[in-house]
Amino acid sequence: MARTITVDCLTRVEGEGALTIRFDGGKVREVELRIFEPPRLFEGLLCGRAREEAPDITARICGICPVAYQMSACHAIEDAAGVQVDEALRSLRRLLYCGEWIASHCLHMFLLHAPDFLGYPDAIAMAGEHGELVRRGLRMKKAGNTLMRVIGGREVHPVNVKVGGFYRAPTAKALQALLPELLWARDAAVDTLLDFAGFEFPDFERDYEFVALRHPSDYPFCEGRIVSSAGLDIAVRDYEETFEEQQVAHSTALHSVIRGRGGYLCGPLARCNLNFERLRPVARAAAARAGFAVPCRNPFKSILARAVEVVQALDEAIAIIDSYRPPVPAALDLPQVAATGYGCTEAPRGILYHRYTVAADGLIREARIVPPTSQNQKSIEADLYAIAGRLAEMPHEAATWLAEQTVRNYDPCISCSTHFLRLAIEAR
Amino acid sequence: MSATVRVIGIGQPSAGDDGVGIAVAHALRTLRLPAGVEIHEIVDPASLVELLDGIRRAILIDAVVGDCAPGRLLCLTPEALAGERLTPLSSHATSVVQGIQLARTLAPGSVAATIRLVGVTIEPPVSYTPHLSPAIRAALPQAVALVRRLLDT
Repeated sequence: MARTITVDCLTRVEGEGALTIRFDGGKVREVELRIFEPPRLFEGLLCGRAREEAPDITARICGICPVAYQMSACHAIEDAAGVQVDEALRSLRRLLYCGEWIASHCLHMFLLHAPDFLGYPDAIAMAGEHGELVRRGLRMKKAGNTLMRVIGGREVHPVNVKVGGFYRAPTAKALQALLPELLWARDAAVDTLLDFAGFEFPDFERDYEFVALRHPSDYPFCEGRIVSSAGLDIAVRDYEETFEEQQVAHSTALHSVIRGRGGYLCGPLARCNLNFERLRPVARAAAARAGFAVPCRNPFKSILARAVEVVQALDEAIAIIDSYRPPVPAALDLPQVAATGYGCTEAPRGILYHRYTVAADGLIREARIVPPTSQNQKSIEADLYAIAGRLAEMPHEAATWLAEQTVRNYDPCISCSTHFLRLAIEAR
Repeated sequence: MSATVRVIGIGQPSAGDDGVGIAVAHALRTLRLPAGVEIHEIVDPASLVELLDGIRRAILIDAVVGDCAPGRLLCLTPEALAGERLTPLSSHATSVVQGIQLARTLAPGSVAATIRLVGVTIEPPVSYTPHLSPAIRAALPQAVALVRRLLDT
């Protein structure tokens, strides 16, 4: 029998897209994660602009992870200039990134993903019976947003980040004022991880190639080598020799693959799998209490990986503030150098690669940006192929829900990937 | 004195006319207002959950994309808005209607009993600019006056 599951407008994801799964005689014939948001052509927009503008222009690619764009852009431009920020600036950047991870992960965990596990169509319906959970989530999210505002100047599209550092370093007093709420949020994050560990997770695993940054000592944010669970271990500047983007007819976003191997998974689940021992003791202990261990190949448990990372980010934020001294100077000067620079940082959804070729006049001649959602598209489709047999046996409404949830496991940011989603399950 | 009324400007000031709600809030800050009135400016309507709690009345000011000329003023109730087929401008954020619904669900007994939305019609923003268009700049005094009248009633 022919059957099609169609979601014309996938909800609780960021951006606009659709999903079609076509069955033929009970077997899946085709899966299409269709991203139809128009290409936004940011790489072209950057050409001819001053290198100093890259963080602010690229931040506009996304309202939920602007810091990731700013950090990858800064690191790439600084790499081109041969400059590395000192430890004080590095810590302040990590603190800002902690704010973004907390805000972004809490938005997805509490408002977008938890309703899937608790059986509600959306967070508003869930709030009627789980008001305390939603209130907790909003308060934790606000703690992250506040960090972003105090360091970055505002919560969305921070304005205080510049190539080389910051326009102005926050005072120790301004950051210490955040500590009581961050300490509350860290406890709340541990409770959240334990609560979420009690969810019923679909019995589903795939043998993913996980890809993430790996730093010699720290859980990855801004630096490290790009490593994978299949043995990949490369410098950031070798990214394009290893990864390639491919055009597919049904999507305006490019699909990323590892040359000669295919799709891979990046994001919280990959980071946890590849960097578990780099987590701070508080986060590792919370994961152990929740029964979250690696390797974890169940993408539905990505909500647990996110929760572990929220504990991690809050604990690191508290530690950074405890020992904070404003960096002097607040930003390093960069020499004018004609060169190509490479940057890769861990956005909430996974690795975000930037490359810029800068001319001697300081203008950008060429730009390349590869966001995490476009890197995960192939893996999302592969998950849907793998789970399609189960979908084929389910009532249409339940199948559609599970298919959407499978996509939401990735917290896809479609606006970023084009620089969105609708589901169709078709059978014949 | 704790606030009994909150006036909340909503918008993105660097997206041109989408920042009109913020601009109205800024203008109101320069005026002498009745006791118990607080002014707030927000980008993310999720903040409404907190701001609508524990007060008697709220006036929200936001840009509205409509099929009439830019600069027209609308005074709406959340119920009227919820009946409209609205297209959210961003899936990254909670919409104003969702923010109000979430606030009412989470704190049914203490959310502002009266909520009014002052909408200023705009053309969809097409570029990043911190400036309002001439039509919206011209409508600003009337929007401020409308909020003042609502505060006096």
